[in-house]
Amino acid sequence: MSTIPCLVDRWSEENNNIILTWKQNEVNIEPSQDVRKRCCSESLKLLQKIQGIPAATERLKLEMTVSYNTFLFSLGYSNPSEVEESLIHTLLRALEAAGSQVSSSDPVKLWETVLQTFGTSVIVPYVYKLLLIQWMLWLMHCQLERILTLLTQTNHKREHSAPVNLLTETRNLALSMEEDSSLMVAMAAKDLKDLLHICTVICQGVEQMKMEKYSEALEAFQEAKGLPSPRSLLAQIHALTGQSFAKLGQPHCALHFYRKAVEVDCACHSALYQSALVFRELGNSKAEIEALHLLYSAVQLQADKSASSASLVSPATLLGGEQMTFISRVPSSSLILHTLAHTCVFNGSISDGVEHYLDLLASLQSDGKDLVSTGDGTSFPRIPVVYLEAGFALLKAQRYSDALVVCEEVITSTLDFIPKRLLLDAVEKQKSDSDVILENLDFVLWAAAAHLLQAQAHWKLKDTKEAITNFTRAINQLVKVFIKQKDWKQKHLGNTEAMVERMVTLEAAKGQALAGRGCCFLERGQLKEALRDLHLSLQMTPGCKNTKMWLTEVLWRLDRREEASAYWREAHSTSDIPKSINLPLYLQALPEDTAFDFTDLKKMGEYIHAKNVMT
Amino acid sequence: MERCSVEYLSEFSDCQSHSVRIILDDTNLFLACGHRDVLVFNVEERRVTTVMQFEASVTNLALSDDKYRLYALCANGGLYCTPLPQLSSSSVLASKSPDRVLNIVSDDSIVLKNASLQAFIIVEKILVTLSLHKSIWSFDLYEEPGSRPLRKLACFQVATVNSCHLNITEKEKSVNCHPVLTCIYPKGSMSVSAQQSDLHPYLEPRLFRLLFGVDASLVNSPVILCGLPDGLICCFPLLVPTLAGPRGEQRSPIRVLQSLEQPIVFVGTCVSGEHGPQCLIAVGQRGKLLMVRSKQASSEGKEADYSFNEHSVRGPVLCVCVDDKRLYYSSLNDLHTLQFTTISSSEATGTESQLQALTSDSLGVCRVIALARPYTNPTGSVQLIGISLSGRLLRVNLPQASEKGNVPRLPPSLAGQRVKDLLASIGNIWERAESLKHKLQEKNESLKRLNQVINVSSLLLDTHGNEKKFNMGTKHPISCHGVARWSSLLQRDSLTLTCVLENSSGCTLEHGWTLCIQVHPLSQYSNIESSSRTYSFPLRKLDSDQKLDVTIPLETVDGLSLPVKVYCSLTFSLSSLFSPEASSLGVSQLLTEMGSISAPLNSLTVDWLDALRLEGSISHGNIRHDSVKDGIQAFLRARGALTKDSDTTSKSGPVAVLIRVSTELLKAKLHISVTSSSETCVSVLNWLVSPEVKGQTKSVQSPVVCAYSPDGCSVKIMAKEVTLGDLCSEGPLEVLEIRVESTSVAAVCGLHHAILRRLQVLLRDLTVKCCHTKQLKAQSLCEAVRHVESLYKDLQDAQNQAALGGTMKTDKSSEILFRIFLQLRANPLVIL
Repeated sequence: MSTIPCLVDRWSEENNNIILTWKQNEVNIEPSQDVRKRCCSESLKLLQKIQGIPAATERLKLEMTVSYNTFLFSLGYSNPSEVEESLIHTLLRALEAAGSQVSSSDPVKLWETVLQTFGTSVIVPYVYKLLLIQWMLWLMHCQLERILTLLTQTNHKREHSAPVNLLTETRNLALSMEEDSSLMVAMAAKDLKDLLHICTVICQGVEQMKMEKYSEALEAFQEAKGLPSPRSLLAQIHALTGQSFAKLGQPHCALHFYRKAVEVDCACHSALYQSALVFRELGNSKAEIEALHLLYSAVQLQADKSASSASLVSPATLLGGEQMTFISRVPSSSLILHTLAHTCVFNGSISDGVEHYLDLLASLQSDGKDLVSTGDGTSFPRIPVVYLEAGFALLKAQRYSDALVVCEEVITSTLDFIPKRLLLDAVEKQKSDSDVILENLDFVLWAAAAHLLQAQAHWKLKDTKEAITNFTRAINQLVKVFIKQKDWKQKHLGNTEAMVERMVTLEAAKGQALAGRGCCFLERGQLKEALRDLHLSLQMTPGCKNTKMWLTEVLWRLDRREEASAYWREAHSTSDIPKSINLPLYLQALPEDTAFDFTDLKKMGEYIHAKNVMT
Repeated sequence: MERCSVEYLSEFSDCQSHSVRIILDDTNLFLACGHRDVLVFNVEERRVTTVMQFEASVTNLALSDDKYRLYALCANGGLYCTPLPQLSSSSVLASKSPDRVLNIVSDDSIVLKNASLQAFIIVEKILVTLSLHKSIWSFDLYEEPGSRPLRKLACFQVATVNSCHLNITEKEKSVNCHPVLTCIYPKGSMSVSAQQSDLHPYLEPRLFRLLFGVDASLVNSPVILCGLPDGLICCFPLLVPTLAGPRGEQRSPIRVLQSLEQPIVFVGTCVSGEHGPQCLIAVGQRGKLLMVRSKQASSEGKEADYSFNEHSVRGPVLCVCVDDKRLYYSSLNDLHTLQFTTISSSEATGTESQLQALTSDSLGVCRVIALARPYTNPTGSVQLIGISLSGRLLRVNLPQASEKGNVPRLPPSLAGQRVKDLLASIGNIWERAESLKHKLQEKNESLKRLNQVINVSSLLLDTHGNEKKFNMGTKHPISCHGVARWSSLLQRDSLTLTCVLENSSGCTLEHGWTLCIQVHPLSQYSNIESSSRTYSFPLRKLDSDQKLDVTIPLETVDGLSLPVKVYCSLTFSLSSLFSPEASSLGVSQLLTEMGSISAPLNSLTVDWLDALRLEGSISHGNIRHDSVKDGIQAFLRARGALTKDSDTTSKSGPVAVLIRVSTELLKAKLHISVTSSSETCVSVLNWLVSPEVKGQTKSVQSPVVCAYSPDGCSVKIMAKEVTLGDLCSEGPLEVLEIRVESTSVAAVCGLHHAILRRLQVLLRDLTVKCCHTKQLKAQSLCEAVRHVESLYKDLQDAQNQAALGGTMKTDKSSEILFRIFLQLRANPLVIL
């Protein structure tokens, strides 16, 4: 009788003490997680004490406040489903105290009953606190439909015929939120409501983006921008706006918003990444490299300090795992580094590219947890490919011995996987087998490419004998693949895009190896072998200007001037080799390769001129 | 195969066979026997140095990479991480303080909580956990040691194989088989000492590359291998980014290597060759053994491949460990060893036939349920540390394996050893026989006890059923009687109840029976549950015709509240059917909380009369005047009145109540033969005040009894015979008038109630025996009724007034009520 008010006072005091401890911790420069955990367990204990006695209307304020605090504290430690269970328990107790009958424990129905029961009573601000928790839980699971139903129920005055829209509903939401100074809360309900509001809008926008309704998404983000929000979240909103514009085909608008995002919060990695993608699309390789470089350094910096936020509820927890990864999707640092290195080498800034590749190889060997598969939807190229690209870059940077070592790694590791011969028969091929075949084909390609790169390195080192050996090894690997069909380039029944792509690569590699060997023979003066190889190479890669030039040279030396002049003219009529995007980086021919030493250029010109005069 | 010798290092309590884990780290052995404790046992000193107690039973254990932290998975789904006490220093300290260090690990050290967590492993500062949720196995990778909650790095999932296809028996399912996680390193990735690489299984680079792919081998990533209870063996490289598949799509890093179609007990590597272990081995619970070896690329140039060879050993396999060349496994009956041959690169083709001839040798050690990694001591012999089902920690010393196979003759030097070994194995068999015998004995004991209990219960049941019969005077075979007494202890008097349990049956009440005495205050309005108390007295043994006296206090912290009802009962807890030292939990684990028999015995009431202290029998000084008020208050509170009123009323002199009973009636019932009225009065008073001393020296000699009520007020009980002339039509009626007088209202009320109750009990079956009904004068009866009616009217008026007047007039209304009460009591009806 007389003891109960006493208990209520004691409990309120206990609650306030917990909150005071928390608030003190919050203003600290280095908030401690231990304090939060302690607050959480103490608050939970208090709640258990309060819920140990039957619910009564006069204690509901206290019970609801303590529940609210407990849920906020426990958010980081327990399962959302546990919190939801506990929430339902509290609601059921409240209804019991009010003497209402509860038919089902379905949260939606339950809330309907709760709001009807307490809709006009004095404890409505406390009910709304719990409602915010429910909103939060559903938002974490991205259950926007349920949130909408819940919020609609709170609005009594709304005429039911009006179309229901989450955006307008949240905008017009009027919850009475007055705080009671005698019962302290860990986070003011108004703050939480604002945060929930903006996160719900963002969530809605992201959902629209997922459904590829970009203009609707833009609308949501526009709304979100008008709401007060933390810095990092505003940056994310800008970045998302940019992404929507990019999808709508307005890259310059997109870039504008990405820049805004980075201006607001320089740690907004996704904006940097997305802008790099836009720059690539626009063909602005310099800007792309710059963006990637910035992104890589930013990611590296962030990895050093993994800051744990002190605030109880962060947008990251509210937007749930999936949503947040969608929003701030950035590839892993190793993948960024690879993209950067690849772009550098591809666009001719070899020395930077080599450095990045070497960094990448080093990190692949040593960095433990950075390499763990993140499953974020991005995939890393196969490791041998990375090695080959690094070897290629080293070769181009004239670090031949390093290139040799890197390629040797690929050769030894693929050795055991290379089949004796590989028969490709598109007609008979079983679908189920194709993955295995493709993988085998890859092994052949990698080994051959490694030999090819090694041979080129030897050639550059003026060791033509070793070069010829390696060119031969490359050719031997490549001819292990038999293709039964003639017109494999046409997409056939079984010829998938992946297969065709590999065929093209295979032919190109064969062409390069033969041409290379031909050149070596030429240098050694074995003209007949040179002629044979160059002819074969030209068959493999018709229209290659370089090969034609070499052929001219060989034929000239063989004194077959007519033919030589024919190839000469042909070579001059074909334009500069187009950069074939489809080829892997390590088989790309860079402009410097065309630096062909035309010592005989003059005599060729003279000969042709003379011939013209004669005719 | 040579014999081995077995040493017992220590003995612990029984083990839960499916969740015993041993980790051997240098000289420290970490032991989890399926209980809440993890023991750290120093092998050299042969003693437990530290005990870590967790909140739930520990199912899995692991040390962090740097060996500073111990991770333990408990049955409550929590993964605990606790820093290890400095073990090296503790061994120094140990010489000084031999007592164990007990560390209690609280829930503060939980790093992860997930009820579906099944297994975990820590590799390269990454914590890999495996959990099963709705038939999906998911591998989660966390940063270790990380902030709490741990930062999740990645997550992969594998669906379970439907176990119906695998005809996994129910028994196997119920035996909690946990998945097995192993990490396999490519050779050379370990930059640490050979000692450490010993702890991590690795594979020769060729087989590693063939099995786990180019990418893992180029990056030198360790590979996590997992043997699932459904028989799948899957693997994924730990430190390789998600790679693109052949078509540029993302591909799952998890590959399934093989399915053994039975729960997997062990995955590891064995057979050291030139470049490291040449063989990956997996062992299933039912004895399937999978060996994966590389096939050399033959001269025809077929691509290099690896071969899966399946063998069978006799199951069930409980635990497995490997060293360089041998695999040791324990079925429950014996510990076996399997010797493997090394393939040198020159003889590649002949291996197949050799593998077929895989035979196991028995080591003659039974009931081993967990094995730690074997270690080779400097002399070259191999030592295995295992734990047996009965909780014995044993060390098996294997002599150095001779490369030659069978030894044709026993060299004399080994004969002694051989004898020792034989003795050891006899000892093992003896241990088994002993345990079986022990079990049988336990069973018989239990049956005997059960028989006894049933006998006693049926006896008690008969008593209960034929209550009428026993009431007639025959004694209950097992009964309990109680007497209230005042006892003085430490200058303080207290009312105690002495109960005597009398066993006059032919049975013996054995250990396990408990006498329960439940005391219910009758006056308490509030719920009985809270105010009633139960005292239980476990019986050791009560032979027939023996008595057991127990004394219980009747006072509670709130003071004495009379009258109280006392119920006696005998209960038997089924769990004491099983002797407490029974080794197996067996049937007793099926007992629920409520597993007990309860047979009610007598019940009795202790009222104010029992609690009276006669003047003269006690010294005056002992009466607690200080607690007078307490007693009154207690009573009045019990009656629902307020304390304030009692003060006002008790001031106005002594209060008296009257009870009138027909003398004839009393005499007949109490078998009083005396005729003089004063003697009748004395005997009636005696009956009231000290009924238990009937026939002995009377404690009351005069018709006036002066006594003290429990609350210390003096009370007078007077009896006198009066003649009522106008009541009965047949003439004057002899009536015994009992008058209770005291200054304390509480005492008066209590005594009045007690006397009435006694009379009620006495006269309960009067009607049958009453010889003649008296003809009552209607007029006097009417008068009495009118008087009572008028009082009733007054009462109603007072009530109305109280209801209307509110709280302000309680004083007045209670005064009125009190007056009515007195009037009612002063002129009672006669009990005929």
